[in-house]
Amino acid sequence: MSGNRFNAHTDLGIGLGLRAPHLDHILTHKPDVGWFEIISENYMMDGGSALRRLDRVLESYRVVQHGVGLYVGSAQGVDHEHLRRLKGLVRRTGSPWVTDHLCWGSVDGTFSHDLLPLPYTREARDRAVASIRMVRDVLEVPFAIENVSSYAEFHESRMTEWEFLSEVAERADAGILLDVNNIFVSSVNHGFDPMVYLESVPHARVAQIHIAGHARYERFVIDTHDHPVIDPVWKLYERAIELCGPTPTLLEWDAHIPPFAEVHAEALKATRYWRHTALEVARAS
Amino acid sequence: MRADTGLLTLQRRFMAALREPIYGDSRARSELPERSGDVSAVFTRTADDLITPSALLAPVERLELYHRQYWYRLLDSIAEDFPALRRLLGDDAFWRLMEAYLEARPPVSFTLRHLGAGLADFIAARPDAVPHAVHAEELARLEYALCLAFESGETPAVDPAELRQGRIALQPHVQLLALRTSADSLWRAAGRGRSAAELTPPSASPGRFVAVFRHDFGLHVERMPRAAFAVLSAIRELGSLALAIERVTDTKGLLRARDAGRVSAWFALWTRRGWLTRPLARDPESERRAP
Repeated sequence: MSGNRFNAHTDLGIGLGLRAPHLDHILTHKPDVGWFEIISENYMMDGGSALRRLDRVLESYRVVQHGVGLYVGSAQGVDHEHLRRLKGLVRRTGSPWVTDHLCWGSVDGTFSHDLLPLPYTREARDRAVASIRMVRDVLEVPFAIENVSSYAEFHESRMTEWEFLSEVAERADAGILLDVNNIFVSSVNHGFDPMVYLESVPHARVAQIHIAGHARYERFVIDTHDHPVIDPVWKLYERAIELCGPTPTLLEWDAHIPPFAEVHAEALKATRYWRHTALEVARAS
Repeated sequence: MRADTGLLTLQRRFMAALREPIYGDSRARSELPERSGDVSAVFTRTADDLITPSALLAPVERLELYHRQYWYRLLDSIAEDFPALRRLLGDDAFWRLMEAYLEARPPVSFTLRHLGAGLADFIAARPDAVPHAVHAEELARLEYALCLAFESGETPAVDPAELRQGRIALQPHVQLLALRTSADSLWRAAGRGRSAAELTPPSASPGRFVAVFRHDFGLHVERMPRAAFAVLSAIRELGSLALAIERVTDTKGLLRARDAGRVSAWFALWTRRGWLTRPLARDPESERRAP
């Protein structure tokens, strides 16, 4: 698998989220995992056992940082202190690329601690582009934005979500962390064809892919990260690999977390789509 | 097509809606006690003005999905950080307090770890509204000190031979608490699984001096003599061993010449634990404490 300029030309395979219930197993048994993804904000502190344990993980594994709090879509811009702390963590982890979400979450100093949806307007696009450019310049590593799952759409929107994501990524010259589960969740909640979304984003910018499970209710779907990946999401993933090529892929499992071996086995299912793609490419040539 | 409100206005209105209390089905799914009522007319108007309906959900229902997630996330997080306070108050009073606190003081930090930063002061400001208010306030202060000790920095310890040279500082993760109550005993009892009924606190009394600190991978709460507490507090404030000893001896009268042996034993313990360090160029702990 080759990298691209949005993931620092790394050659990582399938990764897992580094979660507290698995830490002892990982540090003791050193399982064969391509890489781990951490939630940046969980480690943006001055000291303590969390950082010491992270340092032990770093001795054996490549770690990629994934943020939930930059809020590049916030109308008042990115918080500079947050960015300073994030950069400090990048120095510690050597994260080859850094990701966060195309969303907002704070205003006037109050934080939602959620990934809130943006209106797909030129104003929101330009705000996000300006923030992403600043983030990338400060961090000095490739930066990729993730599409969020959403439960609301705004009257003000003037373009589709995939047009918005594409325009932001192109204008900011950023990578994309393509979450195929989020595409599926939003497609059910908003009634669009997820394949159209997938076909429409700039595939050369896809630095990383997320897969996950979700919870389906009678009238909506919530992105809960507490179930195995369902078949329709694997279908999207298969198509994403066809379009983007084998791409560093991360399984998110954040609630009701099963034993490590079960999560790892679920993540490794992704490799079967890589083999299919490689075979098809070989046949075509 | 509606007129654009602008990104900042949209975000302000959306956030104001999230901060409203939850009612009805959303509330029933949480641990909050019953509360009659419904979201405000402003909430409904915000939903209608900003959000489109889907095939299956009205705008107000779509906004409600975010609204309740906001509350569930904050309530889960703060309950995780204040388990002893929850045991002292019992579920009903605890959740009423948390709801009132979060309504009055929404999150102002990028991390949920700081969600309880103002809880002790919030309790202190309304003693008649909280059972066992003085004990609850101090337990909240102690449990938040544990949060700070968990994540605060650690700097290289000073060589004992160099203690009297230059400025020194107290290890950032060491939190010092002068308590009026036996909140530390309550905290231990709650940790052993005592129920609210078994945790009825005794009357407040002066003179409990506590350090909350990190050692290896664990967090610790430890009482200390008043004079030792005063020396450590003075070191943190004055940044000098000589000035700290002078203040505690001359001004406060807490130490006398005959205490030299006790003081030596304290310093031996503190240096063994690495509590005395050189000051940082900038102190992340004091920055985090700043409003």
